[in-house]
Amino acid sequence: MAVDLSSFQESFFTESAEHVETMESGLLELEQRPQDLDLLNRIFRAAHSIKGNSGMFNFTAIGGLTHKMENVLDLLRNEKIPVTPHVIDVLLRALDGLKGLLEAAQGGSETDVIAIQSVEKELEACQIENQESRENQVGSASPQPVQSQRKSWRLITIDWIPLPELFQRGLDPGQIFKELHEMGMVKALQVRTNRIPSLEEMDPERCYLSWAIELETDVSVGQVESVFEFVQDGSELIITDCGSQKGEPYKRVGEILLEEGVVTPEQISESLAKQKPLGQILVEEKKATPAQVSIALQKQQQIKKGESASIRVDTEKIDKLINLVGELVITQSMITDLGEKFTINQLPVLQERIVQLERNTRELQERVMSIRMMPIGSAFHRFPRLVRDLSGKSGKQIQLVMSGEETELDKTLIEAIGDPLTHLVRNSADHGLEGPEERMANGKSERGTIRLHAYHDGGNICIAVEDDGRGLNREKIVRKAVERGIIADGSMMTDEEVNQLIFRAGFSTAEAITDVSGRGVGMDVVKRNIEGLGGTVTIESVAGQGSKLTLKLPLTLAIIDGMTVRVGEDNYIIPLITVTESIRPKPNDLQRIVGKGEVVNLRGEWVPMVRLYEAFHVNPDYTDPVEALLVIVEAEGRRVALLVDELTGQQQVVIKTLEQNYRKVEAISGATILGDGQVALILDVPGLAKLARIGHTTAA
Amino acid sequence: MGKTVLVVDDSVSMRQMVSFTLSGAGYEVVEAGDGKEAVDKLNGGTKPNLVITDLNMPNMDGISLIKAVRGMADHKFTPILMLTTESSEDKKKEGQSAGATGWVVKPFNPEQMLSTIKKVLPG
Amino acid sequence: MSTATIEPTQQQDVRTTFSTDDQQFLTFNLAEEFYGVDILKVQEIKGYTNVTKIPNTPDYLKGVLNLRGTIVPIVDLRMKFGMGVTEPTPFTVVVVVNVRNRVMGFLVDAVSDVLDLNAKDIQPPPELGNTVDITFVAGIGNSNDHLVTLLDIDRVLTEDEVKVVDEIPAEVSTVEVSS
Repeated sequence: MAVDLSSFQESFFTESAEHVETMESGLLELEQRPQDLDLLNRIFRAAHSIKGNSGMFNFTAIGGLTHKMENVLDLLRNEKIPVTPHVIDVLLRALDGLKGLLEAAQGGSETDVIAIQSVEKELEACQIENQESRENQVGSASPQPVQSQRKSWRLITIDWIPLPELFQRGLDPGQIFKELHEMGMVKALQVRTNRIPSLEEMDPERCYLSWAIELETDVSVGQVESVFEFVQDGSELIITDCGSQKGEPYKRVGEILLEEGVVTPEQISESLAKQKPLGQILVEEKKATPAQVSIALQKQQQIKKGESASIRVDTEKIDKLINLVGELVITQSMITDLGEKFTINQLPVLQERIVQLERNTRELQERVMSIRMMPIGSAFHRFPRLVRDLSGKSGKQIQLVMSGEETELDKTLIEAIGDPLTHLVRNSADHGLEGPEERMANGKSERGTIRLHAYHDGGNICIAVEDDGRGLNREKIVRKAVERGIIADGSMMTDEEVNQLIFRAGFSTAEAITDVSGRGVGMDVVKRNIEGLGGTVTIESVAGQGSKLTLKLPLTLAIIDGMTVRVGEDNYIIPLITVTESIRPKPNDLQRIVGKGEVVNLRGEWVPMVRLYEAFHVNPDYTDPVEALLVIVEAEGRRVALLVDELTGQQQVVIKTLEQNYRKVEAISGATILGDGQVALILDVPGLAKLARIGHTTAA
Repeated sequence: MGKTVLVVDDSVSMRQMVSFTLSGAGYEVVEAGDGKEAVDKLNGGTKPNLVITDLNMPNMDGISLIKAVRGMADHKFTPILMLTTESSEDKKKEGQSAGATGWVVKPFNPEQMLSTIKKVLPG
Repeated sequence: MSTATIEPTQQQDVRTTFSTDDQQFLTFNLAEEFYGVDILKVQEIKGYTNVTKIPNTPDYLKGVLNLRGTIVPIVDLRMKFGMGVTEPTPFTVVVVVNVRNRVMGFLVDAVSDVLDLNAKDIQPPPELGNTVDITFVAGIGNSNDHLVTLLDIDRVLTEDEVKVVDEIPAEVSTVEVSS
């Protein structure tokens, strides 16, 4: 049996990560609501689970730390010690240590042993604070059964009056006798019936029998007692050692096998030594080939890299998928059926079934896509802690309000927006919000608020990071931009344009470099990352009242809304999110700037024009822009006019890469398959915009 | 025919470990993620020869599950083993009075688990 | 037959692709010439349909096709070998092959046969000097009195031709002066 041990570990790590998250968010909430027993129980259960499970995988360090955390949590739970910020601090730090240990166990970083030890000491100190520290010897996981010394053969008598509820607890006396049998020889088994009541009083589900047993064995009284482990409570049990016996001793199965030469002593001691972790036994018993081992090692390596791309899916989602596939199969067989004996007057039936097929397919598509969808909450989890830390460091009082955590989006996107969001939240805490004095002076409450809000907007997801701080400071931004040479002094700009300046490379207004933000990674990186995901960033700001940054992202990376355009015989897809408008220019809107290419006048702004037929070397219907059409697209803050023959429609397209079988092509971001099976290319708008600019500069 | 064991634990990795151990030893395994799911499975016609349950679980914990199972005509006498983390006497007592047959203390190794099962599962 | 006279020393020059004794080749026509590819590299043979042109790519890259949801580049082998453009006829087919984990289609005039060749029947590629690039020729075989050029399909397109990412020249300047 080939067993992939690492898969067990993988789910242990996934689970532990979830538990760690539960604990972290729970502890932060607990600080607000120290009386919430449910919450405490939830945190306790998470710690408890990690402890229990880590034992199974021999992660003793993890077990040790969670054990200590659990002790403190238990004291909190039983109100033996109060919930204080200090205790929360210690527990949070222990949690950090736990994260480190988990990472180390996955083959990541080295563990900071010293830090773990010091936090463990602190945890212990928390317990000692509790004067009546209970002797709570929980989970001392020392394997107790030491190989017992070989004892001489003896007779043991057992007198057992079981509890009457024996059967109701699922116990079977027969099992016990069987076990005794294996220990030696049962010389006598006497059933006593004296406790059986009269028929009318008798409850057939109760046990009225009792037994007297004589056992000849070489095991100790303790071992015999252990057979009755589960029935001891409520039973009357007297086990007496009657001393050594003469004659031929009873032999154990192993000994007989040994004498008869069936097995070797090595094999027996091998079997006896099997008090090992599961892993070891499996490895030894599956008799894996070196190849299998190396494959397993590789798999483990992948997991260590943290790149295992597994996804947890609700069984409900899967069940729905299965149902849908079932429907699809039925519809398909109905159509096949119809096709076999089709007459033209059945056309309406055929059409109806095709509609059904379409519906099934669409639903199936949606469901399959939804498998990759996860609530954005998992990207939000880190913020309560982050804000708490930021507030501690800066001396600002910050309240974090999150909403829309259940909003779903593609898993890859969730992973990708984590860092940009962190940056925005840090920015708000560091630059946006004022200190308590300044806030009071401005008639605001001492405590500043950062709001994280996620919501769906059409085919997009929006995530807003909003603060009630001082808002963007126009003068400061303009001054900085001039200093950095980003704009010329005395430039006339709208507020909107000024706000956009913070996204320019090399821009930072932080007056003091703090360790929170202002370390070079600027808003330009945030904007670039979001645009790289096919999204946009917008700013709203009111001086003195705060600012709001909104990230708008497609729900998934695999499907985009596209506008199909035609140039000559070829169709191209333009991502709809980049399209601002399409126009047919008037002759005097066009201008050729010597050495700078062509531009078109768009309400006073001169926008560079790219003739797609020239860029792609195809034969268009029209070469005169006045007869053709210009699609105005915007990427990375720059606008470009694309000359096309015709707009042919809008549709959702599935993005396919050209690189899989060929290579990257300039100005093309990928391809898709149209309804008729033909391939259409998807335009890379930022690439085209660059092309337009290069055209100008090289011509100059 | 192999005997069926219903394994109830909210932790997937625990369930996998237990299931793996059991199926390796020739048992059929049915899994449930918490007490409620287990009750649903039992009501839905699953007839295990043995139930192994964790105690700490969301929705319906192990003790409530044990009580519920003992209340079902079909499963009144089915052996139930509980998984406990600590060798705490309180939990054992609570489990026993609820109707648990026995217990396995975590962490356990497969051998221990199987030998405990042998204790309670008529075979 | 001339092939029978090959000396053992010459056989060692045959590329390692022909290590096994018997090999099957799919043979096809380009113009009047016969070519063969290792049949194990061939995924399928597909009738020719209109391709979608890809701008700014070499002439021999006809475009891309949709092969059950996968985008597959199509190479005009005649163009690649400098034999002019393939004019589609009813016999024109696309030989879909696996090349270094990529799926590609080769446009050929017609597929003719599957040829069984023993390693000893394969001659090393001829020495043609530096004027003709024959790195993608694995050897020469013989079938019914005509020569078959056996292609080393992995070398027909160089790694650069399929992989290199076209670098768009860096921007000259990011500073824009608003007026």
